[in-house]
Amino acid sequence: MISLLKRDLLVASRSGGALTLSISFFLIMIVLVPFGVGEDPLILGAIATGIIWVAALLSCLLTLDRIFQLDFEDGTLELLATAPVPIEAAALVKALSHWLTTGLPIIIVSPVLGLLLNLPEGGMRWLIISLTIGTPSLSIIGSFGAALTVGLKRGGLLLSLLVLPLYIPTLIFGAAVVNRGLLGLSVATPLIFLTAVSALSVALLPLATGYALKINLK
Amino acid sequence: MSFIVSNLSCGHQNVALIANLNFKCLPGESLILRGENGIGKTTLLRCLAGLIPPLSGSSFSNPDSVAYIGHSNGLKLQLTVLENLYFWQGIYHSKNLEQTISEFKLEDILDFQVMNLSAGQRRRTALSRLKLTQCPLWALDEPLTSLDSKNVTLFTDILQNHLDNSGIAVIATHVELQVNKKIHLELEIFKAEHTISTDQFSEETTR
Repeated sequence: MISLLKRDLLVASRSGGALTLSISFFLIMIVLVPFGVGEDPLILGAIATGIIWVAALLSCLLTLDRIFQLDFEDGTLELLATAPVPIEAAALVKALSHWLTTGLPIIIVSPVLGLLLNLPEGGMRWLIISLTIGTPSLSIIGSFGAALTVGLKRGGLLLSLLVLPLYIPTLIFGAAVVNRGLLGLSVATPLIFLTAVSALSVALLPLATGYALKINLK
Repeated sequence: MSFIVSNLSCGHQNVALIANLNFKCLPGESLILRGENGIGKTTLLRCLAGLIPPLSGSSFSNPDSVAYIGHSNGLKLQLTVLENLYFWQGIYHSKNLEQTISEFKLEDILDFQVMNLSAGQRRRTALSRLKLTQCPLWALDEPLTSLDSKNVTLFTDILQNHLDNSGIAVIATHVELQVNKKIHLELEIFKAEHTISTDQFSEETTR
């Protein structure tokens, strides 16, 4: 399993775009917001949380179809399915490598972008915490969607339609953590729900992903 | 360990291609699948490898003991030959990497990215995965595609060596393979009456 993770990261680093696509999209999207909204620091500060979370969602979506599609096309996926490793574990590892190449860079640059959008100081800590807890569920839920659409040519749009509604709970609780943190209120409730969404997806969705892959490989 | 298939029917979701197939392979024997295009050679091999569940009947083998080679090579084009082999070595926990490299004569292309290799070199790299799996049963779907005559001989020797070590091989090929103890299986005899189930979802829901 470690060799699968190693190989996926190596492939991502070799195929130029894969590693930088999501993070560049995330950066550009956020840098564009002040041009559209105007330079009023108060307005920007008020919408910063929402913008960063929505941008994180969309840039995560951008590379989802790569999770299984490339392996499906070159035949690796079917060979992996015949190998003595559980396909569910392979699905989990591939979601992990997706998170390492999209979620993690987003978390790392988010403080800088928070600063750019004039996110009040108290919110920075909660932004990082909520993204750290929330983004793994984005990759896991996304890998489930990617497994469902793996056999389809040009399945990208369908994938977005399938996955975006499933991202709503993560978005609501993730943004709520930051917004309540900004107001100095207790963040316990949204934080617990956000953690629950992530924990449940990590625990249950790889099973569904594995099953979807098996059906698509038939 | 011999390999027994009894009353096996297989096909795609609601169309059976092969029905009531029976055969038995002893260690050291190879089974050559014969039949025209579309008769179900690939489907049968995928079924034996555990990729497609059989419609009925059974094959007495653990899918984990089957090494499958399909039409596509399953190589990552961005990685070098060695990196591709390392990956499969990690998946199968194989300890015979050096031996595999020398048997398949991959020394000269080890550090080349697969995208820079010829079709025959890619196929040879893909075939070397068989050795890494250390599985007793090989299910080969047109293994000799794009190989030149020198490499066909090379692979035939490796296959013969596998069989001599009480391995088994089920092969769909149009090129004559010069191995001992081969059995020809004419799939025409086991061709299924094409029955299309009216309920497309029955297969998923009844399981």
